Amino acid sequence: MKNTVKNIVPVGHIYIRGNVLKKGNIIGVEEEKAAWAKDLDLPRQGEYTFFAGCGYQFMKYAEGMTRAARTMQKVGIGMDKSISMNIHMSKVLGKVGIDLGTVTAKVSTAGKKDAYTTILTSAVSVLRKLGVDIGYLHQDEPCCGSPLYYAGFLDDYIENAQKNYELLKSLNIQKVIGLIPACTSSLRNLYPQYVEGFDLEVYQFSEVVAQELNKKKIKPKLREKLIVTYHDPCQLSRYLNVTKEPREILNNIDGLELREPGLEQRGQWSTCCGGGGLEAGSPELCERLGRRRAEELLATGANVIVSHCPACIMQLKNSVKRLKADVAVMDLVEILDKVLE
Amino acid sequence: MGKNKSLVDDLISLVGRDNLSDNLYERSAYGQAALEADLEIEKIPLVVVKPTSAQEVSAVVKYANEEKIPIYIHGAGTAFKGSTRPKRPGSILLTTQGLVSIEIDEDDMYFEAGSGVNQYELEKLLQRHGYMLPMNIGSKFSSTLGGAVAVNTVGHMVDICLGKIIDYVMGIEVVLPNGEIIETGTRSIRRPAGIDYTRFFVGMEGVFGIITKIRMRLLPEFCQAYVMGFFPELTDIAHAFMRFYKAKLPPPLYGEFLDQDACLAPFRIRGLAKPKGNLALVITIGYTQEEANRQAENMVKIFEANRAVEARVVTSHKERKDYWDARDNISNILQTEEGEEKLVNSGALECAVPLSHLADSIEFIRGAHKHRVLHEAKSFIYGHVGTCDIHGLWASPGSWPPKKRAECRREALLLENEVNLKWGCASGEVGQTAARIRFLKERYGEAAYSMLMNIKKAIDPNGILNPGNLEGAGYELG
Amino acid sequence: MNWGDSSKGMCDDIEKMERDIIDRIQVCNGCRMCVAMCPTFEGWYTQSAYGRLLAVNLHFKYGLGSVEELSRFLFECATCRRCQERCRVLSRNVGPADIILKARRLLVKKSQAKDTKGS
Repeated sequence: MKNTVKNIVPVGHIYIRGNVLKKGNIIGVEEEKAAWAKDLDLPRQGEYTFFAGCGYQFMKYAEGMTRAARTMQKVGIGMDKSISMNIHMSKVLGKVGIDLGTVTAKVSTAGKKDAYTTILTSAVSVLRKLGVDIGYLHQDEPCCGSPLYYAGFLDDYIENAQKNYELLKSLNIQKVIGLIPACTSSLRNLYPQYVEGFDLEVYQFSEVVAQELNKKKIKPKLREKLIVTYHDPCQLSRYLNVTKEPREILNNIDGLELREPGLEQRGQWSTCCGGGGLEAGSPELCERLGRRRAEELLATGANVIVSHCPACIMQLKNSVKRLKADVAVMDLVEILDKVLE
Repeated sequence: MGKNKSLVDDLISLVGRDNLSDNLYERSAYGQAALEADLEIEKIPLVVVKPTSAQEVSAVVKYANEEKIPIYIHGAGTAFKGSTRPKRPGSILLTTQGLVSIEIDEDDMYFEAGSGVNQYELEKLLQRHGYMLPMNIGSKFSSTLGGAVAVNTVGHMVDICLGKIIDYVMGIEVVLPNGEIIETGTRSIRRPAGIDYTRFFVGMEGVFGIITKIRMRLLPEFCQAYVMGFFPELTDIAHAFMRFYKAKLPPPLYGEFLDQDACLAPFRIRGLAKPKGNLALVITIGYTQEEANRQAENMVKIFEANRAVEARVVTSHKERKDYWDARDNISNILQTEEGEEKLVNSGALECAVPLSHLADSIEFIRGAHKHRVLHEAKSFIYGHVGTCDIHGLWASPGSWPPKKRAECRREALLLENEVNLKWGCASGEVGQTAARIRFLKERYGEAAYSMLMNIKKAIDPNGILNPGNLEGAGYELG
Repeated sequence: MNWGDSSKGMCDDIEKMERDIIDRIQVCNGCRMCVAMCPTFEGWYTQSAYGRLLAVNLHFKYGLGSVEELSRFLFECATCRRCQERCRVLSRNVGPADIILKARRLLVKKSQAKDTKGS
């Protein structure tokens, strides 16, 4: 990107833009896309198309990279510079066939189980347990392009959106179940504004699950009691207006006690955890937001923090760890997979 | 530039780097008051300071006296009549947002709070202990305790029910215009008779001193009952209240009204059915629930006897909240649908009229006046009818040229002036500075105004605290 | 769902974008109810929708202030939309979150135009 845009948009966003436009995902990794679905026997076509999104798939890389950026910051190399170095190194290594993203991830998560891609496999498992017929586009699933929109690259976003719509239409896709709230909100709220004739039906995972549980009158049960608090992701509660369904799901589980933060800290007023988009430009501010939200959630006395967004999960996991609290952070999907037969 | 640098450095040594901002964007945000349309670039304050103790406030004021730099005081900047906006260039903007201590002393029946404490946070804290905050202001989510005390207002509440805020202020800590810190009042629930320095500052809108801490009596919660009614005419509501007080019935805590047009957007936002008329809302109180309920039933009977098309006691919590929020969030009334031309606030009036003239003053404000531009704007009448306080709001399309909008604002002030002079009253909720100085002069005369200005000159010879406010700077009505 | 965005499709006219943003900001009456709602608020107005909107206003309507600083404030917004919800329920429904996003777009477009001109 030319000089002047660099003064306006934080380098992190510019880097992500490059990744989305060139590699089709926010981290810029090519080979591992859809690797999580390898052994799941997911057909390409189904009544609904399951839209996994970039977040859960690549969060382990994001963790690695942000850790690397933080470390560089500790030794005095600022965020912008460290990402610039990353970009520069990416280009250099790319020329000899080495993907820096994968290398960083492998180095920082070597030997650790990936907590995020298991959420994807659980999501598919849950939908299947509820009898929902899904297909998945595997390598062909595009990136919804949200980071472009929020960073201000509207033209790029629109071009990407139109391209994606054409692809989905060419595959005769009519109904989509989005897992990640940001992707779902992009497809449901933004695409219709910018793509002529957009006519896909877009559902969010928790909406579908709540509906099926209700229809089939399923009353799941936990083996051991859990005291849980729920964190509404901004994209789910305010962009998609989905606050009822996750609570219905949680309250429906026998053995689960739901404790909520204050009236003005939940639902449509849920306090942002800072996970979405601040990391790329303002990591220290991002960390402070995470701490404040974690403190609000921990004050409920729950043993488990439940949310439903990869960025929130990563942010809250890190914040809870920094606060040295013995509280687990789980996705709604994981709990569902545990309790459904 | 050089002078500014040393100003910033000097102030940093007094309040600390973290409690100061010299950033242009920050300064201009602090320099803008609520409801003010245009920014006066040359009057953007030079620096914003956020002292965290009376000692720091004192140091800043002493410094300002030495350097002859004016100070404008700001709680949350939500004053409606322009008191927080700098009237002179080259000022220091001092905000009380750093004075946020709260201590509750139940044994002596008071709490002490820094003037920068947020009203809503304070209200919630007191409620958790079984007390109520004896004020309820529409902007409480943003506004500070100090601001309300400086203006001596209780917002929506009916004055003759619980009193004005000064009735609860046992004492204050205040920084004088020369920087000296004094403490006033008492720790006893019986406040001083005769000379009590508290009265020199509460209600004086920051021109005699900067209030840094306030000691207030703890007031236990009352039992409440809730009444609502719809009326064909606004004046019907006025007559209902006139009858209510004639019958020597005890004042409710709140008596609110909202004209039918003003109900439309707030009702729509909350999914309420279209209003059946002009809305009246009342909250009665009692030491027992029976008492509150009995008063509520009395109110319903009076509503019914005054042409109400609907009048009832409301028991559902959700309904109470919805109707109250519809009235309380007055900014909602200007919401338009996307694509509709946006309306902007162009004129505001607030008058607390004599009881016997409640109905005819409403008619006068509504339309029986001769102000041309006001007649072109869209008017909304609402307010605290139970305490005889009427609000008028004139909204204009965003497309009106700035001059016309300024004329609308001017006419609203003139009308307000007219109402107060005609019926011998004054505004009862928001302060007099700086927009209402002409009224102050006309209503109470030159002798009183000279006395005020002489006192100000005597105690603030360098003109440090809020200069221009008592002169009505920027609000010359011509 | 209130998206407050009547500009369908790409908006190539930078002046129109600027005008639209400034007009929307004039609706704000400074009630400051959004301030305490902002998760990034740590005591200064520029850490809130109110301050960010006024910063955009100061820069584009009055031509003051540095664009780098303005962009820093705008990109420190978490785009959580809490301010927008607050303004809708309690106040004027100014659409502050949308305005901040529009302002980001405007800045990007302006700097991209500068790049093409400069090269």
